[in-house]
Amino acid sequence: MKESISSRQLGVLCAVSIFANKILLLPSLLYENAKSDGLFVVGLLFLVDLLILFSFFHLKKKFPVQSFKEILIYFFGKIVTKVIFLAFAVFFMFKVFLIYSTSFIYLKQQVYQGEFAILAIICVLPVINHAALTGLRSMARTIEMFFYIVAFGFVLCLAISTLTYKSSPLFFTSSLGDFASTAFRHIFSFGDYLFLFLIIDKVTLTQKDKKRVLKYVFFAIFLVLILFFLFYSLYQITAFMHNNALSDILIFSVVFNAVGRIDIIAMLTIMFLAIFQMELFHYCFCDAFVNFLPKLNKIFAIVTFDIFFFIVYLMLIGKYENMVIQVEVWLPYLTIMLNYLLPLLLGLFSFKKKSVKNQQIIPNDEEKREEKGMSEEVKI
Amino acid sequence: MRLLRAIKHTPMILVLLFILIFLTPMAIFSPGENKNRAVVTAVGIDKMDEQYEVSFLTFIPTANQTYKETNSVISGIGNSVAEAVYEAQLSLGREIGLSHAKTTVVNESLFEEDVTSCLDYLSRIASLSENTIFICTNSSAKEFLKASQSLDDEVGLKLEQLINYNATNIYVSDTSLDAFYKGYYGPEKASIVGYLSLESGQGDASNSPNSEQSGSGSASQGSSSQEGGSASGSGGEEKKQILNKGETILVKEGKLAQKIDDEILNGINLLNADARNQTIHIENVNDELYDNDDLTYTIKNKKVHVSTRFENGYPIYCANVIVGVRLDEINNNGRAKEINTEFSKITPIVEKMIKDKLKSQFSNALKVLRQNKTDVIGVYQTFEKEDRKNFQNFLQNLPDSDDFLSYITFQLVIKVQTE
Repeated sequence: MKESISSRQLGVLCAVSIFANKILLLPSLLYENAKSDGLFVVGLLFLVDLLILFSFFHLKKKFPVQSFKEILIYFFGKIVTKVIFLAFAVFFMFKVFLIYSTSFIYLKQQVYQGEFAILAIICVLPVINHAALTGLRSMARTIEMFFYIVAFGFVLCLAISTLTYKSSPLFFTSSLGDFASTAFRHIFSFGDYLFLFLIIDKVTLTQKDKKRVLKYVFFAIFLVLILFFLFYSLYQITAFMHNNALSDILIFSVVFNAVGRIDIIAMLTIMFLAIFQMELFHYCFCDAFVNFLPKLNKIFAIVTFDIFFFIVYLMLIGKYENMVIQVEVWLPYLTIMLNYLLPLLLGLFSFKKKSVKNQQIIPNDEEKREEKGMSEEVKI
Repeated sequence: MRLLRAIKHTPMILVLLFILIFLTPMAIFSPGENKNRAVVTAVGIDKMDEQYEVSFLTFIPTANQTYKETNSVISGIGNSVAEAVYEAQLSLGREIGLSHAKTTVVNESLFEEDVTSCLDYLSRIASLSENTIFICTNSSAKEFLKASQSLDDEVGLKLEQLINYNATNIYVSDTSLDAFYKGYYGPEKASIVGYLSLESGQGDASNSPNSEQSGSGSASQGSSSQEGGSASGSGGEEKKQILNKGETILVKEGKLAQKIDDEILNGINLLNADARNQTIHIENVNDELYDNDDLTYTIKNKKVHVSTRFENGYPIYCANVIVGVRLDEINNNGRAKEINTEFSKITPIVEKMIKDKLKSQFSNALKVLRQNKTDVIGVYQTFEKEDRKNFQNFLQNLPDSDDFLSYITFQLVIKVQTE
């Protein structure tokens, strides 16, 4: 199998994806309407996402060697497949934008007080472009290597903040309507396992592998839930004023606030995670883009992304407040279609149709992909 | 040739070269951050004649051979806080960075109106951390910062160290800006804010109001040799010193409700298990061990168990407090007394007197809280957690739900034991 990754790497990628967009701004945004019940909103959406993970496992079992494109064409035909890939490209592009904007505003507050957008772009874009260009395997290896450092930083932040823990937050104070609307508005921050469908042909999943992946997934979910709990416990009513959850729980106490820049632990963790998440989702954008326009190769995809980044993000969106509006207004619909409707349909169809183990659904498709430089590590 | 070949094989080197060529000289030749930005360690806000004066205690890093830091107080006046900050920046010739601001001092007069109106700009736009310690002062905040600067220069005591001591030992509650906001936005709309007064000093501790109240256990910022901070200027300017009398203020909806002394504060903190080291002074003890003696005990440990219930729709707040005390001093008016204070037992009479003292402190504190409708002891939250439905019903039936403390019955059971 070309450009395949191990189950451990897959687990690490899932964990990194789970942390995406949930450790800085989301706890505060959820608090605005759902109050401390934001914790349950996250819990609920995690549960729903887990169903998507199991539907992926099911799909992988039914189509062990086929690529996602082959599976989609098998079920929906070529035109619908193109539309789906276009939607995937848009979805992952905005995922990168959101991660960039929240990390950017965090670093702007903590490190650079002035505007440093261009500097950030110079630092971020080449790195994520390079990661997307070199392929999934090298990216997964890099992330795997740093993951334990990042996980240690995350756990350390939580451990230090427990020293200032006083009482649990007040739960069940929001109405059902607020709860549901909050879940809907912030659904784009989820869809953590959607990238798995794009790399379905690059992983091998035995029963043991699945258990290993689930171990990483539950570890990441556990950390995020603890973060939400601690954040709402420490800040309670003022949670809406604090936009950088992982960092803010560290400096909650006046005592810790006086200890130099203890938030450097959170800062490093967040910086590593943001880069890894952007790399992963940028890779997914490129994959979806190449599948949408098979005549173009990955370099075109990367250039397109960079152009969109300048035009859509810097010129049209500009501020992270605008980005949050995009996230809350129209991106939830896209998320529901891609993250819930599509796996549901795939699951239903795969139950209906016969298993196609070891058959090539579309002859020569793999070869075509190789020509475009998606499956093989790109050498220029 | 080798380089060209390497570039041909890995074009990402071009990006690296681009960054090196363009950004490295930029980094080398750009001026130091401290040339453009002043590090602010404390912020002070005053209001006079409808104008705001914002003062900054700034730290300017300069190369020298001692450990002495160069601090100065810079201020600006404007019609709004934002304008005053802008004016201060002009005076300073630098941008102001508030990330390191650990203390925010506000003049008492600003609490006559909703104080959040003057904090909004700083915390929302100017990135003033909500974890800074928030204190109120009777005098000008600018003078207060000057006094704190002298405090640092003369006795090496930083303002935040002083406040941290208060927060841990006197207020025993979080007195940060965030804690203030927590109370402000909470259903109780009440907070407790630290209070430090600035008094004119003549260089003699006996002249300070503090020494007049030495019996009440309040602390001064130093003896004659260790004067507190002095807002000194050159020439004949009056010296001012920071006095730490352990006072706080109760704030309701952002406005000053009442200034409270350490006695009331001890009453408020009776139900706070973290509140230790307070002294209990009982007078004229007569029993088998003591003969008209005055005793001073210190609370060394405390356990508090709180439970709630409703009777006829009215809430009852029950608290069992177990106080571990240590006898620190016996004042027997000059008569010889052979009691080892470390091993002295608590006689029933002493126990009763300590209980009465604590109950009276709590009762007085509760009276103040009820008068000002300021629940700063977390009664609302306790009922919300334990029996939300009944508590909400109770609140709805009240003529003024803000005055809920007056309708709650408190049952206090105190047990006194040696530490």
